[in-house]
Amino acid sequence: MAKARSEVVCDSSSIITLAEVCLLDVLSEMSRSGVKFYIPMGVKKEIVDTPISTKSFRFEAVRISNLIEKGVLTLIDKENVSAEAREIGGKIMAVANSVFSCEGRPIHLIDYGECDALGLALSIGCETILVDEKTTRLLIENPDALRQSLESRMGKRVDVSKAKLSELSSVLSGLSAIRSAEIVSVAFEGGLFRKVCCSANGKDVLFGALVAIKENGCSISEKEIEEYVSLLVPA
Amino acid sequence: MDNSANGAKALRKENISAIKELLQAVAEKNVKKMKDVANHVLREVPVTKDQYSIKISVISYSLSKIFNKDYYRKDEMRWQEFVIDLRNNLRSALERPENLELVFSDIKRLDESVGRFVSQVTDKGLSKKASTLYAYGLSLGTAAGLTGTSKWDVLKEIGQTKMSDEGGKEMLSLEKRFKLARQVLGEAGSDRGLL
Repeated sequence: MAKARSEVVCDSSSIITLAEVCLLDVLSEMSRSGVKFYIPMGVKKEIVDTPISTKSFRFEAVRISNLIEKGVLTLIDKENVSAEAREIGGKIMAVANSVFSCEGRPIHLIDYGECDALGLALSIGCETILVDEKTTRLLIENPDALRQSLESRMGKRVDVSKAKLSELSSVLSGLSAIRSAEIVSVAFEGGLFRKVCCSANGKDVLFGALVAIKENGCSISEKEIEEYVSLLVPA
Repeated sequence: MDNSANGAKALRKENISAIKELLQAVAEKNVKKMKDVANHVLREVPVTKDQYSIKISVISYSLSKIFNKDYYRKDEMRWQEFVIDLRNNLRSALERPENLELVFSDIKRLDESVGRFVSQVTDKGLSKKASTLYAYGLSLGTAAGLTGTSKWDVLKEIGQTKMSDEGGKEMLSLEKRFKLARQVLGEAGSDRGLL
């Protein structure tokens, strides 16, 4: 059964991007407004457990851990749910990694973290996934773009298993992807930046925030940034 | 046909020729050739997942940076020692690929000797090559996993490139994606003035 809207399963890429530009508070505000952000165990490992043991990313990991403690990010660790999510994620990984091949050898496209998020979304009936990472998004929306990219970079023909692609598309068909760029833009439109940038020019705030997330890994083009600024801060 | 066996044999040959090209580039102090080796040797990694190819790519990239910076050569004697060790260890890696680790040690020692953080140039090389694999189409997790880096480092590296501006890949228009985001994130906030 499809759940109500306002539920989002998060991949680690978007949380990392938002943490790096100090915009995790936006998630807190949205959570207070009723949006549910879920993360699977595999994502928690990548955004808290591993970075907390490093020098460079320990502070961000602590701040994310705090979001989990406060319930802004809901960790799905119930054995029955996470087992099902892992099983679905495992199937997605097996299929996705057998869609493309080169000279008879399969191309390993996606890994556990990304598949964990996809598996969780499908197991709890959540239709929206927050993911800055472009490969997972293209697998959902435009797998042929991945084939073209691999072919042009590797300089070799990449074959597609139509049966596996059809199986993958069927599994992922109910999912939609948003990025941290959309989190920032919706937050901007909703006035969440007014608190911190009350006297600043709106164009500077939105443009600056979107460039910051782009420079920290969000897959958004300069053209899209300009489009968001035109859309939300009309001249 | 045993594809994996054929693949492994071909790859070994490619790695050997990559190391030979790198040795030539070192002898010629040819930074461009080092960069070419770094890029070329990575091309089959999405299929082979070969760790030696990744190591050769990172070494080639690191050497291109080192040979491009004057401060590594300030102490002439230390520099000569480095180049001799480097060439010896690269040659030995042709027979014993595990000796590529000795080349990493050479680079780290040189980096430390000029007062830089340990392994700065090779760490940068790893995240750089992970971002290249991501640009090929491998996921962030796969690219980070193959190179032994973290998603955090790779995302930072990706952010410094132009790969997000390579057009024509987004299937969903910005308006449609924003509308979807508004529906998901905005409805719950409407009664609190979020939207």
